[in-house]
Amino acid sequence: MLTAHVENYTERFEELKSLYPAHWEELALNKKYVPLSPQYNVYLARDAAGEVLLVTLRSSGKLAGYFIGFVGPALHYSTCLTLTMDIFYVRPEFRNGSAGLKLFRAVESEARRRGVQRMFVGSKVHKDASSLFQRLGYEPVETFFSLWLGEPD
Amino acid sequence: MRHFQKIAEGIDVVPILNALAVHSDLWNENTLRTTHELSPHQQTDDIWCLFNAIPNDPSEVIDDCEVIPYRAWKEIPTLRTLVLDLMRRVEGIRLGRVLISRVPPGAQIPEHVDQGAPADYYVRYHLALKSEPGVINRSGGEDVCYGMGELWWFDNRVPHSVINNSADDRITLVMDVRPC
Repeated sequence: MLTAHVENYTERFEELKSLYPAHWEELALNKKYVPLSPQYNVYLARDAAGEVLLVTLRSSGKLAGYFIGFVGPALHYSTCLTLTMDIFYVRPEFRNGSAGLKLFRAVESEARRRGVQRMFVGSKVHKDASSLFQRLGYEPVETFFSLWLGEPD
Repeated sequence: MRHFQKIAEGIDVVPILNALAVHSDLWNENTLRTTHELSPHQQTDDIWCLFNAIPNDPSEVIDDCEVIPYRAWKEIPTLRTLVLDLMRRVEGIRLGRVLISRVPPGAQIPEHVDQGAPADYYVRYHLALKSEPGVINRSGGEDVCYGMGELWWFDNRVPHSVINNSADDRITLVMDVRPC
């Protein structure tokens, strides 16, 4: 059984960290130059401020995936409470077609409960999750580009 | 949250868990609540501490607010002490049903709304004796995973359910209390 859970980021902090290396290995860019090194103090501070939305996927209690996002008024649109995705990940053995739907439906439900009006999500081009978001009825609205500039002189 | 309220945390529940381990024969001595045809609790186990006297027609229980002590109430003194301490904490003036509920790993209590006179008269509290990540306590569309030793008020007058997708039992002390 795979279930989605709204959980407290700070309480689950250590458990979440256990999945980050696999997540980074599969999805990160420029891995040769950019190691995994989250600013955990910033995450914890934002959680203490009530800004973090965490939804986990669990199977027999074991962490199978997560969504982490930030809730707050948008910088350019102060009247619009916005959920902005930070990261999401589902362990490969649980990518059976419904895990992503369960995760994001729970995210939507919790976001609605918190009064969020608009949410932004995304995925890497090299691990495209567009079909999941389209199935959930999301509209593609923006494309990001990246350029590696190298080490500073 | 409108359907859950944490009342206390850090309550030492280990003495109760110890008593339950020693008195494992108390489980399912009384099965009316978990076996009747329409029960949402069919996948769970019970220990009755304070519960209604069972009349010849068991269906009459649904509107009976009076309770009597069962064996667990007499044989686990630490349970009485704990419950009476919690009564003080929530400023209760009358105790209704007190029971211990166990939801095994993988089991569920499907969505339902508590019915009958006790549900109108008392308010419902849960003390989490054992609860691990993976448990979903849901009421009114809100989800909470209790932590061990936490006391929660929860709204049993709206649709509520439990899914235990953890690797261990979810055990709660269920208390009905008439508030001041």
